[in-house]
Amino acid sequence: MKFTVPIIIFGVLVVFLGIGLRLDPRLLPSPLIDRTAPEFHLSQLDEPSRTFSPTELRGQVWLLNTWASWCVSCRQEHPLLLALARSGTVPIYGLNYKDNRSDALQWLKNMGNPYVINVQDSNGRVGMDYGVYGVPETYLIDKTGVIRFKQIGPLNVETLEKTVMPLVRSLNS
Amino acid sequence: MPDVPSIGQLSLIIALCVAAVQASIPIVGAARNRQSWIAAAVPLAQWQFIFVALAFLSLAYCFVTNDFSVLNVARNSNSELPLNYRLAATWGSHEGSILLWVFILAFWTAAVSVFTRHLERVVVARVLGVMGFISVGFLLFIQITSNPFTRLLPVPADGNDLNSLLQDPGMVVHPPMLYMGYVGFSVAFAFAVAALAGNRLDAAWARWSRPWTLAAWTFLTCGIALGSYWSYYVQGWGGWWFWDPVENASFMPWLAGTALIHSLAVTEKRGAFKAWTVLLAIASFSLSLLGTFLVRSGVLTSVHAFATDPKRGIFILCFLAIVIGGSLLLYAWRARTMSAGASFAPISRESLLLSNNVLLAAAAASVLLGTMYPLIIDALNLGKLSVGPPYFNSVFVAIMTPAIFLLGVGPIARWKKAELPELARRLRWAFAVSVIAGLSIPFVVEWKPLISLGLTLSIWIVSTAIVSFADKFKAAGARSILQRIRTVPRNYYGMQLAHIGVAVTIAGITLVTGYEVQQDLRLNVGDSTEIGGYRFDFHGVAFAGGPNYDAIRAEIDVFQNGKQILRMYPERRTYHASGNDMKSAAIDSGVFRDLFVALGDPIEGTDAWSFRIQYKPFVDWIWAGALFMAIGGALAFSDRRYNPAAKSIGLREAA
Amino acid sequence: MKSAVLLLTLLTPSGNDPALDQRVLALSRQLRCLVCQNESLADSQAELASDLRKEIRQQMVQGKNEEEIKAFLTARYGDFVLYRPPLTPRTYLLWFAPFGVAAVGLYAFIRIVRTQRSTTFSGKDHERVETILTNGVGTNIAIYREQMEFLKNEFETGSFTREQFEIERNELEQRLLEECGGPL
Repeated sequence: MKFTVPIIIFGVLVVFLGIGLRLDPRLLPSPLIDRTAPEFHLSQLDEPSRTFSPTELRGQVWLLNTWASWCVSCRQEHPLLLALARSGTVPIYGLNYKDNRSDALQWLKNMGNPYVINVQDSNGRVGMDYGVYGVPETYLIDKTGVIRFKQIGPLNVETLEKTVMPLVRSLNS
Repeated sequence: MPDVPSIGQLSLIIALCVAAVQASIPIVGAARNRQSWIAAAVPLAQWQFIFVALAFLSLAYCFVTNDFSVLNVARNSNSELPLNYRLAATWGSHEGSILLWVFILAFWTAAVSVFTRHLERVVVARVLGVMGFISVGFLLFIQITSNPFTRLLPVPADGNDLNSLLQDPGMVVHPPMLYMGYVGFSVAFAFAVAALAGNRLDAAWARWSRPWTLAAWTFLTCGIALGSYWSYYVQGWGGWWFWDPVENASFMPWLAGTALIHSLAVTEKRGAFKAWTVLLAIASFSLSLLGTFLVRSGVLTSVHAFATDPKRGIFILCFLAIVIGGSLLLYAWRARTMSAGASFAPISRESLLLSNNVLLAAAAASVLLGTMYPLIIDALNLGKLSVGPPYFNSVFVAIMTPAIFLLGVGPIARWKKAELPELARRLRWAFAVSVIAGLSIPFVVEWKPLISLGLTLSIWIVSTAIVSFADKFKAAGARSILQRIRTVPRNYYGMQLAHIGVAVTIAGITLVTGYEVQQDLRLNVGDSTEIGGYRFDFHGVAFAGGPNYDAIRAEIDVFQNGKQILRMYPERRTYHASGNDMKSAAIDSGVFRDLFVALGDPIEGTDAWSFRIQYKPFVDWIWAGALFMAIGGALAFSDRRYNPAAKSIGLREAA
Repeated sequence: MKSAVLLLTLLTPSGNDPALDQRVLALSRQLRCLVCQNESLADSQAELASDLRKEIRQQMVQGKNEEEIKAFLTARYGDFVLYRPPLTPRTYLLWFAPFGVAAVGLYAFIRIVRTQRSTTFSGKDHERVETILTNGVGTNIAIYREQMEFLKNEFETGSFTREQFEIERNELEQRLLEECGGPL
């Protein structure tokens, strides 16, 4: 009997390894899900004399998208964001992360601007509060200011259609 | 000039066919007692080696001659790359390193076919058959997912260059040495599986798998030590072990392999522990295969991991399941009928070796658990978790401490039955010296409990070795000391040297971890700082260069007691072809300390640069100890009793 | 020289308090760099790692202790950022299993030692053994021959008493018969 212990243990190991092949060890789920979005007051990119804070959007369902002009993957999701902004289903607000103001403005001019408002997080402190570790990252925030979903990496059509939009609809109703 | 890559590809296909035959015919022949089929094993093994060697040499040739029509060469090499690194680039990628794996496996297979002429043909047939099966798996893997001879059209003018971290002598020696060990455990595995299959777990199996296992263990020890040393001087932050999954992937087979060589000692001498030894033989190579999977499948994150592809992961996993699952099933089936071997008392050399094995196995299991745990938690949908050095250090030290204590007692104890009072009496001075020295030495600098523990264990090993030597050489009869020294078998010296190597490594680890000093700081030209009793003066930077890189080199003068003792040149290199940036730390090695200076980033707007300066006492002892272990292993497997031609054995050709 | 060093300490936050440096370093070593493949915050060159080290330093200057700083980081990044897995129900297996394995090993050890069978070797088989040793061929026989030689040697040089020698010899012969017994 005891001689079958090794093969049983090995069997369990293989099962886990098999499951592991489908997982991505680098994807980090956020501990902020179902918690209130951290507060901040940052100056706006377009008008630095004005500030913006997430509490201003209580009562709305909205997306917070972190991006930067130096971020290569941001370009991947940008057309999707533009299309989303045009459709008007959910407003997108931008957190310009550890970037240079003129570079950021230039980038928006070249690539298009899907954001209602952009704020400048030049030292990354707000990003740290949101647990940002690699742009782009996008947060879906509900009417009470609670984070309901976080996308790590560029948004893709599948995630948008299967996860984000249904969530937006249910939060809006 | 024939198209070399095509020769390589063709050779691989032929090798696969030969290996397939090698994996089947001799095994069937052994089962059906067909002499011609049994005899075919040896030539098949040797032909497989010839074709694999041809393939490997073809790839090396492509690298050396800058044949960028081969995708692998274009991705990993460059015409400016110096010759030795072009050669090393052969195994600098996933595909190339798998080919190296197969080449080394074929080499061990051929070696087994040559150096086992004194063994029964049936046994050799099964062993070579099993090794052939493993070769088939890897050769098939190459053809299906990882062919190094894939062509690239249009042919680029030049290549991407070898990863800058790999452009180093470490790259030339570490992988081959590591694989010699890793893959070498396949011999012990094959011997065990062959013995299980033929129901022949006998004295011959125990005696003759031992030198092969010792050889593989010796290579693996070197390979791991080289990897650690390379990491130390190339990474730029002075670390030498991080319990990274890839490092663990090589350490687990080492732990299991260490348990195996000790278990084999008992099985050879006393016929005991057969089931346990077989299981360890299977486990050691299984852990090697598992390591291969972990490193290439993307299942775990690691600094060392190769670029991943799910297809590769699936293939290796299936192969693993067949090979390891198959051997463990065979084990479960046959182990019940194994004979028990000589009996032994609860306190005896056998029991001490057994308890050491249990502890080593527990250590290996813990490393495996810690490495796999993030994956297990993720797979169970319980979130993401990291398991890093703090975990491994705590658990490993806790488990190994009793093992190290027993290491001192084992060689002193008698076989079969040892008397506890007698043991205590013979070891009391060693115990006293170790404890007193271990407790008091740290006060010289700063007393910390773990340093005390480490030093106590280290001195314990050395003092018990002295006791063992004294007993061994006490002249019994009229023989002189010199004669006694000559008659003691070589593997005794090997054992003691290896154990002393362990002591040296433990001392090095203890002292460097306890007393190292590190500073991350900014220095302006003309500034200086004091670390570890040395003064470092920064004199400025200059431009420098190498064959395929440009560098910025800092000049640091080092003073001790007011006198300048050396000048160090840490560099930041930028490689032409890849644009990669790399730090090249300046290290001054000494017997009692290393001084380590790494150049960081320039501080914008000033002439200052950031530096990491470290004082690392006794760090080289870590690798010196490993060297002793390896020499000890070499002494052990070159012992006269493993030379089949030696007269003392009196072998006659087997039927 | 002194004035240069003084200027240095005024300009740069690091390097003016080695004790604080060591504390930051010690804590950073236990934390994971999130953008790297597998490096600690202490060793990583990534920008985020640098930012987090600065944050740790600032918090330490403000008087926060290690636990509070770790809580700050895990609230934002999860337990993943800790290299030392915290002791929670989902890590019980991780922390206790190694000792469980060692305990199982101890149990196995005790069982193996206890359940040993004694030699059931009869004296009349001595002759058979002698025959096999003298006339047998093959690797196994050769090995047993050698081991018998060794035994006799040990007895003659006084390492074994006669009783020990007899026991050892019986066991050796029993093993020999089991493996190379040949036809009865």
